[in-house]
Amino acid sequence: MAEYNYNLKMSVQRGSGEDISMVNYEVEVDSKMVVLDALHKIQTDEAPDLSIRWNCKAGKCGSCSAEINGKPKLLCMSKLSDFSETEVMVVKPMHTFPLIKDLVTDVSWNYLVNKKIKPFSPPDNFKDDPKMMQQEVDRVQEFRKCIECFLCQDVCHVLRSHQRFDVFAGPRFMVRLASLEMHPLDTEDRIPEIKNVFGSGLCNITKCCTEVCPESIPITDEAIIPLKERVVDRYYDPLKWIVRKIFG
Amino acid sequence: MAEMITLPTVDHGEFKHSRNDRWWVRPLLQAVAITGFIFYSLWVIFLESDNYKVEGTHYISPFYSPDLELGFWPIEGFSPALLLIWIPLGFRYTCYYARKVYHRAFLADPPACAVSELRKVNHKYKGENKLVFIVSNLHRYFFYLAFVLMIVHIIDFFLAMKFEDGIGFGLGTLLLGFDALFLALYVLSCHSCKHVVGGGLDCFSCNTAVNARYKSWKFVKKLNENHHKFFWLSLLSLIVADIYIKLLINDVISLEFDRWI
Repeated sequence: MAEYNYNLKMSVQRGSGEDISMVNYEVEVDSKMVVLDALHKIQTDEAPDLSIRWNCKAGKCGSCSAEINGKPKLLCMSKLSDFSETEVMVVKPMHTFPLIKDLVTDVSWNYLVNKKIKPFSPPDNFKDDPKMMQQEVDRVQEFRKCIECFLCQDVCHVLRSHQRFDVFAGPRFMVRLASLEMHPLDTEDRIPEIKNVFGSGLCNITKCCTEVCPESIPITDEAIIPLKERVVDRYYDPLKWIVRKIFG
Repeated sequence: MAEMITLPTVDHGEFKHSRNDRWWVRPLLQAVAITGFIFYSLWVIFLESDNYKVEGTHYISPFYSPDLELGFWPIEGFSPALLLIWIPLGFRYTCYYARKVYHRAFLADPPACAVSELRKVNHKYKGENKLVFIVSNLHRYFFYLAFVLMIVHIIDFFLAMKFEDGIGFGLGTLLLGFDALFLALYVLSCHSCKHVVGGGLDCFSCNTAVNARYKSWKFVKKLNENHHKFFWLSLLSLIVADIYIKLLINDVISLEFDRWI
């Protein structure tokens, strides 16, 4: 039996379309609970129609992304002990994506972007058990920690404020592009697309994606900036341009 | 192939947010610090162009390093600092960390994470694809030039051990040493440096030469994790060394006090 030791005041965004409002709840909680637990208690006790997307409750499925007190976070990894017991906790859905209902948003745009990325392309003489050295594994493995929660997409101001969904892929897909581009066995050249289709130049390095990543992937320093540097190699480096013109 | 689409979300601008923390403190402090540095630099370069060397020592203000006397320079009426000051200015302006600072603190683009910008939705936003931000792509060249300047500052540190009566060590030597140290750490931890030494490679184990580049990349990667700290420390050590040299020039601090060994 759970023991509750204080009442938490929560203000949760409810509704869909034009009919959106903030609804206040007071819920008995324990400081060991996470925000998702508190929302589930509201769902059980007061609002059975409250919509929340969640799955693993272990910070690995990336389903329960939302904004708690204005900061993009996973509901299942946000401990109540990290928040004030007396202040009202404000829970809203991700701002950047179209709202379906309550805390659930439509993130399907991300999957459309993903389809545009050229997949891993091994060389023709690729063996079934190719050997990779540990130092090469380390670099790309960091990117594989991504759980596709899309919090980085949510917080990126190019998408959130400027809504450049038409020309910018967002931090999550810069990470995927980096993992492919840096792969020693990959033969595909994605640099033209990284510049012209996925819009690496639109990122102005404000590093919000890195700040919100629940997997602590250094998105800006290890994925976006290295990709920008590779774009510089190809398009903005005058010495390399001269060398290419002379030697082909 | 799937096409990207425009999503019907709305951003109202005017710094709208749901955050309950003091998100404005850091950009405000950074704006104050950078503005202070800019005004101090302008004062040092344009109004203090005769006060940068301490007689009887080899102490020279880092703003004026190296002390070049060329046939065409310095031109009467122009500060000697103007010959090379564009190098550190360009390096800092195009620095990846500095971009974060000035886009947040001065341009509010955005002022903080998950905080709206002042203006409403800008569907024409081009980021670093347009002037003046496209110049940031030249960071690598400013890095090469800053690397040379870093060596000059290290030489200045060793020269600061030379006094009229021989080799010695003073507080000025130490402060110029800090300036050289933090400038070196700032330059070597640069993202372009990380890319040039090995980050641009896909295969780290292809041959022995590449393996050496891998080790260099690992080293710079470690430094790079603290690039932001070196950015601020190098600015601070530059100002402290310059102020100290001005205090020596104006006899506020005596050379006897300065000299330790």
